[in-house]
Amino acid sequence: MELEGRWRDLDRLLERQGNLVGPGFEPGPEIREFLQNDARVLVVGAGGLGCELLKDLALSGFGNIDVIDMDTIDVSNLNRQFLFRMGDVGKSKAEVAAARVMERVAGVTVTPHHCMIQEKTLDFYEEFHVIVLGLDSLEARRYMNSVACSFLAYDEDGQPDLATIKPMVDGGTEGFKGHARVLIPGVTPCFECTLWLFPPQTKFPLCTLAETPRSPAHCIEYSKIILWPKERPDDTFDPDVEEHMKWVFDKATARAAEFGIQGVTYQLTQGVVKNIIPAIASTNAIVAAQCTLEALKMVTMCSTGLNNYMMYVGTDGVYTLTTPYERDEKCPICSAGVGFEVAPSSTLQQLINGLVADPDLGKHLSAPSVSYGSTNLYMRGALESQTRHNLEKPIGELVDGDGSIIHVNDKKLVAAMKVRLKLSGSNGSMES
Amino acid sequence: MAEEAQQELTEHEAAIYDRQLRVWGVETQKRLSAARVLIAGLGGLAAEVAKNVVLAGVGSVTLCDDTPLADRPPSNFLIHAADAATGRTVAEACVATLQEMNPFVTVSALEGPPSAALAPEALAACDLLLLCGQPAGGVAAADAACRAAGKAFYAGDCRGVYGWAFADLAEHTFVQETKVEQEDGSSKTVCEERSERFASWQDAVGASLQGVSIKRLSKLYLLLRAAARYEQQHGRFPAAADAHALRDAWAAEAAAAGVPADALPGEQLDAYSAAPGDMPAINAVVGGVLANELIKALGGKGEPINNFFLFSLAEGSGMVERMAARLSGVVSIVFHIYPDRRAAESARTELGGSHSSGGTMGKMPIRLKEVVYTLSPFEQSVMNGLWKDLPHKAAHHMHNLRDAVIFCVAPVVGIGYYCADYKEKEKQHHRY
Repeated sequence: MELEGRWRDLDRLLERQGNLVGPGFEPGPEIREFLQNDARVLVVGAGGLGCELLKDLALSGFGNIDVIDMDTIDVSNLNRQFLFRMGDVGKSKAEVAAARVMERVAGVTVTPHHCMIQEKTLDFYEEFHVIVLGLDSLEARRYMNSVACSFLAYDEDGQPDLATIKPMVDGGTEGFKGHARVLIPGVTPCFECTLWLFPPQTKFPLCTLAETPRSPAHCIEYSKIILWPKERPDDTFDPDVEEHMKWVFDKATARAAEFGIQGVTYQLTQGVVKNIIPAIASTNAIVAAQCTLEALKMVTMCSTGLNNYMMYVGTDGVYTLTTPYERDEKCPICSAGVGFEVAPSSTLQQLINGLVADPDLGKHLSAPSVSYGSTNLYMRGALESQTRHNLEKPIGELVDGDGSIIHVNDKKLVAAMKVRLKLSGSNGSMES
Repeated sequence: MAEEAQQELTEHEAAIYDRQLRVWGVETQKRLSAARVLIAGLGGLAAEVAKNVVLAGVGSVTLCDDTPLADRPPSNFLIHAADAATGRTVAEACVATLQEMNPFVTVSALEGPPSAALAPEALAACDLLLLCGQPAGGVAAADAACRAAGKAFYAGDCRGVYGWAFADLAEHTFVQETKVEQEDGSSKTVCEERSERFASWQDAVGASLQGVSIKRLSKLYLLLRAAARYEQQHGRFPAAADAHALRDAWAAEAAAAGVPADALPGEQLDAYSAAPGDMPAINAVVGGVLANELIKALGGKGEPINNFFLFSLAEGSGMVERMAARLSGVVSIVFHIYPDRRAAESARTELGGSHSSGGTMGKMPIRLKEVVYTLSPFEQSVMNGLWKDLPHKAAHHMHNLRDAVIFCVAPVVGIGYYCADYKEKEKQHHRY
């Protein structure tokens, strides 16, 4: 029951040459066939951005979409997550969203995954051609970034191996503002390269909270992080329990009255404690659409891609700016490996000490484990006793010479850090 | 609005609207819930705007489009495939879906084709008309009807890789909030009331472009002018067979506007006429921007776009252009800035309660400057501005400088006089 002319807009783009097409574009009907039958796209998150993304991707011709989200539907989602209804509150976001999209868009297959992103294996993520992110936290984005970058391999010339590139599109919104960006590991900056883009998380100094509060948020934070452990040490604070939230609110109100501060409301208390991000449907629509266009362009090469970060501000008029950020050549996550010079006669233990002492690398490390290819050189934890003997061996014997890449893992790292060893001639010299 | 929707938000509404209340506040939400929106022409773009404003919680949305479901536009995702069997119209099918998305909004269908929205009874029963996907003749008629009836008017269309939106709010007064940093590090919100005049559609697409930099002007705007001329002549959109006639229309339009004909490449004109179908992602971008504009216009807060938003896949970004006829459409912005913080604060609390109609609100607004824009800078008479209001300006500057005069200028001048006088006396004394 295909509507006549349903794919006219796509065919117009995919079956003709043009002066704005991407590199290597070969027009023809096979592209749409690939898009509808073989291309696989993963949407991470089925919330504000996720619902819009699923709708746009399905309507734009993607035939096989997967969506992953561990959350259930809440009443406060209904003002923008339009695939959900009042009666769906409590059900899995991924499952309801997938069902609704398949109802409305003929011919698309949407597969839901109601679980945490950490619960999926790397093999799962490897199957997708593009991964689109609709996440709401920095940690989740860093995790997905490390997953995508972990597939990246470099050839002998230090160039990224194109076949191992897993492209991602990331979007984020707050109120009338938002961003859409393209991440091509090895080509554009990854999250770690541009971590400085994110504003510092609001952390109030303890002395302000304790001695000189000035704002209602100070009073709320004080009640939550200082008063609660003092007065209710046996209860774990749970923001979803109304009694806990009300307790914090009452204490915050009392403290505000003590210092003559206005503005403590229950709504503000919820916002500060749960770190609520204000959100509306229209901004999500705009950012998700931009992400969809980028995913479409990546898979079909029908036009040049966004290079590489677009910011959108809609508070007064409309303002957008696209900035081509550059990679950090020494990025521990997406580069060919941070260079580290070491003498071949130095032992593995000395190498590890040197890494931890290094001013740049050391801040990511506390108790690193080291592996080389598929061989575990030294592993903390269960394999510690089995691998301990490697610590005294010279590093020259454990790797295959100059330029070998070892993987360094650590609790503080989200994913393995790649270190490219430069085996120097002189004894015991270490350069950071 | 003369009488306010003073009923407080119910607890249920507050729960569902929580995330957006944190963006625009309870007052704006109340204004939205009293607003009546009429949407005529229900393609993919209108579906996006309808979804966004229904989720935002306007008072009522009336849909007008009697296209039979068998001919429904594929990109209108509000229509369930199962509805096609019933004998309903596109408008009726969309009503059902939208009503489900937000039970607080009254969603209904107006019988007849999109032009039925221009009937006096229909316009009288709404606050704002949005006309989508209609040829320029229809847009011009709708704009004129809205101006006559004193209603806000928005229009938009998406085709091929383009999408555009147009606003005509005649005379619009709104509040702009800016955060001002205080000495103690906190920030206070200052309210400014501003007025803007909008140009009519005829003026906006008929403006002379003499002396305007063509390089920086959006090509889509030029395309719209060519299409508008064609569509007013022929009463319909150009099809692929009309490519030649469209080129002729552009030649005539370029001559009338005073721009070289090569400012718009022929291929772009051909692409416009040969481009049936709209892209869902572009509908979502333009639909999101349009919804934000409707929210700003109905809520009276925030500067609305004046007057075009133009989006093209090639650029991957949207542009805002202000187009007005040279002679009649002079755009003036009058600032009301309050003389001091106390006045602004008391004005602000008044603002919270009533929707001002651009008056003095009981405080003395100081008209510091009036800025007059025309399209050509050489049109501006600068000298007149200098003499204008001279006594008022002089008194104002003297008032500001009073303390400086007393404590700095007067002592210096006084000492100067004293010394000169002393010298003179000395001179006299020595002579006689």
